[in-house]
Amino acid sequence: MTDALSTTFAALADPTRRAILARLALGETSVGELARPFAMSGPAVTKHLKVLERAGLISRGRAAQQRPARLEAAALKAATDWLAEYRRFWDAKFDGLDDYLKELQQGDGK
Amino acid sequence: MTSAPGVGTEVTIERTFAAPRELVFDCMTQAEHLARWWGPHSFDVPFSESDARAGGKIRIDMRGPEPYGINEVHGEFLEIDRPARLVMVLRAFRGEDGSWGIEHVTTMEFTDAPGGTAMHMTTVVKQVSEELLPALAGMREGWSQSFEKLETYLGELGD
Repeated sequence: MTDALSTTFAALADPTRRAILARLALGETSVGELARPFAMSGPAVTKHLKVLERAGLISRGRAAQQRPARLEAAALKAATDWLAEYRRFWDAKFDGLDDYLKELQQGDGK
Repeated sequence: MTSAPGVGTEVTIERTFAAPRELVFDCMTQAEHLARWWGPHSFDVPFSESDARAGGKIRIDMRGPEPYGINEVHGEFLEIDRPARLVMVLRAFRGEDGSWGIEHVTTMEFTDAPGGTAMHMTTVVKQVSEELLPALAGMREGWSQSFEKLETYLGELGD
């Protein structure tokens, strides 16, 4: 079983999909418009959109031909919040390493 | 091609440590060092091993006050090039179904710098559980405590 956050990160791991999200942050966009900067075919873009949709990062309109895509900000925020917390986790660890290195070099003279 | 700010699965940290490269590298790879700085000061490390070569296993068990109990960190080194570069995969928070709460691949590169050693670290998160977020925040509070326990230990060594 893969939970939502892992699915989100897997979706974000592709640079094309990240670029698609950046474009959608500017507003709802059609498949044709999304494909243009990549010189990619409609079906190729649609494959990426399906991955993003499964991860809850975008939703797509119902209009049969166009199915414009829209960014779902809450899911993206969950991922970016997680990454920010994860970074702070490492920063705090390294603060501890700073202290340890100072003690090692001042301390027991081995 | 630009990506949205904050979007991605990589975390990059750059930091300078006031120590020579060999010592900093050894702190990242030798069990006797890891056991002393890896955990917050309210934890002890009843077991640690670190086989500092490509494919070598990493294992750090941290024991903390309730509700933490014993937290196992497993992993292996993918690349080791002392004192310049290491790549390791780490896994922790194993669930009842055997899956890992977190799996991440971390690359560290060390260069000489004014004042000591510059580290460039990139971590790619491969797998993570949503429940981990509050656990990470709690552990982070533990990490930010000062190293009173270590000072006491080093003082005892000097006696």
